[in-house]
Amino acid sequence: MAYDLEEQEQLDEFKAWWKKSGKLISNLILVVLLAYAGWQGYHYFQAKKSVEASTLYQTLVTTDTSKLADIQAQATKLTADYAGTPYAGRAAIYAAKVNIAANDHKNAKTQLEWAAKNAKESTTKAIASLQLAGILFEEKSYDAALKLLSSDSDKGFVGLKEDLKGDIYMAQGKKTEAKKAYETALIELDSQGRLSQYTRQKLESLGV
Amino acid sequence: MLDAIRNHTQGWLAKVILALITIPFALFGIDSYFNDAGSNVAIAKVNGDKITIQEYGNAIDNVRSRLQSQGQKVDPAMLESAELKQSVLDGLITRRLVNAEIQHANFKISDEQLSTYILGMPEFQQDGKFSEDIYQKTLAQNKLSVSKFESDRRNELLNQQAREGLGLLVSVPEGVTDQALKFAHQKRDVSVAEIKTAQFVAQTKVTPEQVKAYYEQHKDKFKVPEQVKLEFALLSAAGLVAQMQVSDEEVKQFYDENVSKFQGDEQRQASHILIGFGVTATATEKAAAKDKAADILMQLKKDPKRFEELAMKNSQDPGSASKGGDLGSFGRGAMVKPFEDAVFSMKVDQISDLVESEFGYHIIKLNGVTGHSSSFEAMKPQIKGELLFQKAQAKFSELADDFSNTVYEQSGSLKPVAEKFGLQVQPTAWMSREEGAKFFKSERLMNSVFSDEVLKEKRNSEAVEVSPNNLVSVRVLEYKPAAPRSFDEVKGGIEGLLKLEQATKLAAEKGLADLAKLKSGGQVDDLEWIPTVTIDRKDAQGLTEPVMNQAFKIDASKLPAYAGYVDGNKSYTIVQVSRVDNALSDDAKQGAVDEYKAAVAAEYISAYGKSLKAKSKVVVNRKLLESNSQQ
Repeated sequence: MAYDLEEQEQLDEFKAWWKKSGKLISNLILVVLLAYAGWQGYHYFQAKKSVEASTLYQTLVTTDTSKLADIQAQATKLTADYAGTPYAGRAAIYAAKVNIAANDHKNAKTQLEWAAKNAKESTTKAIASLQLAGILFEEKSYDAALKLLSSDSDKGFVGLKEDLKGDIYMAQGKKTEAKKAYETALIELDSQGRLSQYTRQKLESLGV
Repeated sequence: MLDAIRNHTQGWLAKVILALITIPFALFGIDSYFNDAGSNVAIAKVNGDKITIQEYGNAIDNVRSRLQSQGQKVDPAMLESAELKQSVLDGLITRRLVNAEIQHANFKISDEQLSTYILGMPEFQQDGKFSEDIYQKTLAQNKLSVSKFESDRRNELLNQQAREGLGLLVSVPEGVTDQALKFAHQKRDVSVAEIKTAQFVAQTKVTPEQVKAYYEQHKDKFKVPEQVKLEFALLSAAGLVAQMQVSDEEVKQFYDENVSKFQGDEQRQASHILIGFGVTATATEKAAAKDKAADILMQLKKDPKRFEELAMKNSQDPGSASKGGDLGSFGRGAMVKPFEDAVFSMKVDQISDLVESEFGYHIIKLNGVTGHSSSFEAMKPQIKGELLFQKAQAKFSELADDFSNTVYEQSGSLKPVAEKFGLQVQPTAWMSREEGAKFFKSERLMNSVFSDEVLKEKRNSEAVEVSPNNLVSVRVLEYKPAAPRSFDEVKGGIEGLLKLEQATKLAAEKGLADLAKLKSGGQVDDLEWIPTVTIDRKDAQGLTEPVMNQAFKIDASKLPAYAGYVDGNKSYTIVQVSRVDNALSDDAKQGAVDEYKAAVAAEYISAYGKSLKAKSKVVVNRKLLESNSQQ
């Protein structure tokens, strides 16, 4: 088997070394393989969960919005059993929207608070806290709304938040602050988008 | 270590090293070592993931063909505009970002969702049901495999869910819509008074010293731009037409192949008598039918007037027999070929011989002709022209590369290329860069003219396809740099300008004084107000844009409210707002609220993209993006 003496020597060395630490190495390899299998299994499990959640979410958003209790139940299932998927946060916001339309602020708030805290996507969190501030604004809890809007959050939603801030300041009669908020909103909002038109008009009405 | 390797080139250590070197190739392929070349160059990187120049080029092509399919004429300058390039690239970047986020956030579409979607696609419906046949055919036509098509649709659904689906979440408090709609749909009663600049010109005074001083100060403004005199060679399909030959046979062949195109609006009315034989007729049956038909034909030859009577009695075409054989009027393509050939070669009132078709033997009578056919003779010149141009176009494409190469290889003169292709080298008049771009309808060509190579080294410009089927190369004959205009040339203009400036100032002074008076509740008698109009943002009632801008900016907390502005050299304009109306009918309000919510939905979607972008590392190769038009 060995080609020459030197090689034979090396082979012997290797065999001795293997005798000493072979067990440790094979154990290590086993651990790595197990970890890898676990990791794969975890991903498989996550994917399976997500597929289920996707189907449930699809059903939720196509349910007749007059069936409030039905929508409520579906959303609760998603937030309870599928919190690890992006669908949970979105389901909570969707249910809150239906609740708001039915004038149930209390339930809507609970759902938005859940989403603002637990949603998997930072964008969904931002939408939830934006809409929560909207409800507080409706309830004339201006300071609470402003506080919520001032907390740090997702970069993409700064424009929408500043726009809402402007509206709140307007309701409070604080024109200077409103102007500043609208100005910031205009920088942050999509300049090609239609919403920026409305903001520009609100700003103009303040005499700019 | 190296010694060890050398000593063991045959041994196990060498094998281990060899394996270590081989693994990367096996896993990543050799092309990962070369992927910075050619069409693989990245125009942008999204989190290290490349958007290649090829991908970007395809996206631009898609935009082009989409515009073309909408019937728009595509302006190449528009396709090369920085905004369009940026927005196409932004679109690609956003798509990458969203696709990565879909993976990361773990959005999924189940196989059931996917199949429900595909089964419902209108493209594949037949009689209100999904047709597997149409599905397979459509995919084959578009050279798509089922798995590729399905994975594309899955990706589309994922995008809809993750990105566009945000629109489903929009909820806007009433306080917010009220605030926005109040200003968006507000009506204002507006009037306008202009204090015209022109009426102050007589009061102004400008001294020659002032004119001179202005000239000295603004010398750089009074300049003739740099100009060139060019000569050019034009290779065009139109120019090649004269060298093309089209034989009568080719024209005839084209006419025959496209005869239905040249049919015109000709319609013919005919009657027939059909003596049929079945599809499975034997020779004897056929012969019997033929004898019977021939017998009828004989009777008709004796007395053509009996056609109707004989048709009623004998014709085996149930549709027409009862009407005396009348088939009504029809154009080409409506009848079987032998029948049609016969009908369209007959004269009115003529009765044909026996015409055999798959149905049997026909005796045909032509009753009348309306409209005009386009006979071969009439169409010949037009067809010939078309064929000549087709040939010229083909020749043009064949020669184009050669033309480009010749002007490049023999860049010292246009003569070689002119001789080679039988072209005339034509001179132009003096022209500035702008005038040149208009003359040749190509900015790219003029950019090339003012490049060092063409302008200073006096070489031929590259060959530029200034419009489809027109290839131009130019060279510079003479060059005049930009030069100042003389004082005498411009002093009249300066004087007028200075007077207008002064008059504008005077008008503004009066305007500001009037405005102050109006604002404090006073009256100004000599202002001429236009009749008051009621405007909203979408309905200007004929007011100009600057007036509209002012009208909605005026603080209307106290009415009437006023604002004024200098309208260029024309006037000082005062705008009055006398009434503000925030009322919105219930119907209009519902529509307006929906419109507002749609705007918020769009904003959610764009905020989503912006958010992903903020969280990622996006690098754009600006230089490549800007230079890409030249390739």
